[in-house]
Amino acid sequence: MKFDPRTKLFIIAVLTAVSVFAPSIFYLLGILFVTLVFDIILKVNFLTVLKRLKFLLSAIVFVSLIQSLTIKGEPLITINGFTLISYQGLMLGLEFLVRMSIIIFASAIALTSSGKEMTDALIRLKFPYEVAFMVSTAISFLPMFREEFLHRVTAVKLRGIDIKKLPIGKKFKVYAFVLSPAVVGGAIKSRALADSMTAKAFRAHSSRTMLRELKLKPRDFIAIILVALLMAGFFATLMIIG
Amino acid sequence: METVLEIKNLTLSYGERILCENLNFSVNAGEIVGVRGGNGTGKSTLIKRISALMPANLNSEGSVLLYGAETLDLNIKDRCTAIATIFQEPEAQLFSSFVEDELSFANENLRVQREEIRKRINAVSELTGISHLTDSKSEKLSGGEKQLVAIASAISSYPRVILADEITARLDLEARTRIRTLLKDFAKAGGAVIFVHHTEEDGGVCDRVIEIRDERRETRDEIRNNNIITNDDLRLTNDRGINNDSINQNSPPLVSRLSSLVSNPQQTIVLNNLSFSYLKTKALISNLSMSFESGKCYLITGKNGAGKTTLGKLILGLLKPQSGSVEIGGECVAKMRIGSVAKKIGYVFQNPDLQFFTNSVGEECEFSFKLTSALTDSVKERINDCLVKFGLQDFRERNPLTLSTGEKQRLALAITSLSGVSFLLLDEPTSSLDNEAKNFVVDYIKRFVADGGGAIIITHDSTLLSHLPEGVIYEI
Repeated sequence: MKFDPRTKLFIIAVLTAVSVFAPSIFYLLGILFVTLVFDIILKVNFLTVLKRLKFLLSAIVFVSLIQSLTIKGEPLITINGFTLISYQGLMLGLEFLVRMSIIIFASAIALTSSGKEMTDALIRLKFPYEVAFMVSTAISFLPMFREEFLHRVTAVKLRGIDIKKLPIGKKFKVYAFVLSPAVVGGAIKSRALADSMTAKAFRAHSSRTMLRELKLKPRDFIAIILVALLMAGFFATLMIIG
Repeated sequence: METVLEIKNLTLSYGERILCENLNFSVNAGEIVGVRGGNGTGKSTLIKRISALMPANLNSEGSVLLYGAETLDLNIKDRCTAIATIFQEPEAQLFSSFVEDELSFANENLRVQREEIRKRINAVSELTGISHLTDSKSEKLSGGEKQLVAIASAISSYPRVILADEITARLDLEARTRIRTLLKDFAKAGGAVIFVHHTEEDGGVCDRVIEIRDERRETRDEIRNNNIITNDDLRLTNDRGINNDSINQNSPPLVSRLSSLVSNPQQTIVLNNLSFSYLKTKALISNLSMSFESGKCYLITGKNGAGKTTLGKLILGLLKPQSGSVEIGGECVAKMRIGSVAKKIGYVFQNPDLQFFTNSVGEECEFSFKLTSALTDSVKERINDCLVKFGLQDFRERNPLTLSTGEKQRLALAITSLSGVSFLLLDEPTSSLDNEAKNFVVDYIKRFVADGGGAIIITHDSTLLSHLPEGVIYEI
């Protein structure tokens, strides 16, 4: 199903907001379920998301684990009288893991539209177009930097260096060597892109034409109402239970 | 004819380094003016100055007038409605995820009506031969296709002046011809063009050619600094001095000092029924079988987007084929680590900048030896010899990124030669080089092959083969 990018931005904003305020793991699991349903409806490519965010996801799992191990409370797993994992620790760790998963999988909805569509949506939502482009350019800097970095790692390997076989100290040295030209290369490329945008009349006027007209369709209104109701219900429940 | 652009007493410099001095020329409506010069002579900077995209640390004296008004004083709208600038590097020009978005960008900024934008997109797509690519993702395009999109995107606003900076370097023959015709038709319709180029074929479409000389280099009698010379003059210049047929007579003496750099000449690369695709629906390379022997030179040619660079990556094991195999000296590349493949095949990227990591030319040569604790005195001596052989001894302390394109290419080749590889795999090694740098690369390849090495060259420059011994062309 195809939604207008503004609808997608609304869904992302609501899901992210309610995940921040969710008081317990049960609420969070419910929100995660809704998030995944939207992901499936909007045909999010889970494999791509997991591949791209492999490192971030492992870091989140690692932090969750540390939280589980370090928060004191009612013992859950003990070894020789030593509390390895407490109930509270486990809950906090799980809550962190699920909350971050909601944010990641909700944000993944944005990947189902092109950068241009998202920029157009922000402009339609009355963001100044310079700011909207700045946001989309900033977002595109990360993949650009990643590409620069990977190109250079490949270039190191093509010098006959087997990075995996290097001792840890030298491994760090290689990445340090690669990092600085990759940052510089990314910055140079960004500058060149900015020149290219200027050469194509960027900021020539205070507004611009949009080739594609954005139109909210009935399904967009239904989705927006449903998500708004979900948010209202969520905050109403929070207020009732205090 | 109406004067469109006037360059008056223009001097461009970075600090102490003067790129061009007291430059005077004008471009009339209906005229294509070529700009030539060695690598690092400031041609691209000149284009940037004309289009008022001044690099922060560039000093500029004199003026650039567009219909009598200084371009630096014009507002973005007036400037960009009149001038389209097409840069050399396609990767640094495309910022939209989809080709159609790229093509509409300038017109959207200029508040052109939606229907008119669609008409213009269709027209420029057809002119540049990219109609089949408008729905494609920009990141999936080949280097040549990206350049065509960049050209189409720049001219989509229907400008009156085109500033083209080496725009044909990455294009195949058909696309090059198409773009030259486009420039000629644009001029016939009253447009003005400044066309920075290196090749004589590109020079052929120019009405006049400005040659910028680098004061730091050895001067040639034929080149007249900052003077307007006619196209016939230029051909004469080439016939006498920089024609590729006379490589041996005119090559820099340092080339002749290159000695055998091949460690193991008994290697063969075999491709068995190789198939590869980026998309599930369309195979880029299908059941390809070919072999590369040492002591020979191979040119891999083909249209833009045919998969030449992809083939290079498959040979190096950077990509895994869907079926088939690549073998080097009987060993299957899929089972080898990239580091091991690289000990047999020296690869030089299309953009050598990506291959440099350190702050000096000397460190760059020592890089892999230091990491593998192999930097012995004899290796240091080899590096010194190598720097001399490649004419880089005076640049030892220079940051590689500050070298000219030709010098960077020499450094990249010097690094591969130090690793003692038996094959060279060069991706478009001459595409942005001036004649002197090109002659050096050609001569180096000749010597490498004569010493028993094998060279695989991915290129659009079919004239290369006539200068290379035992050459075979593979068209994919």
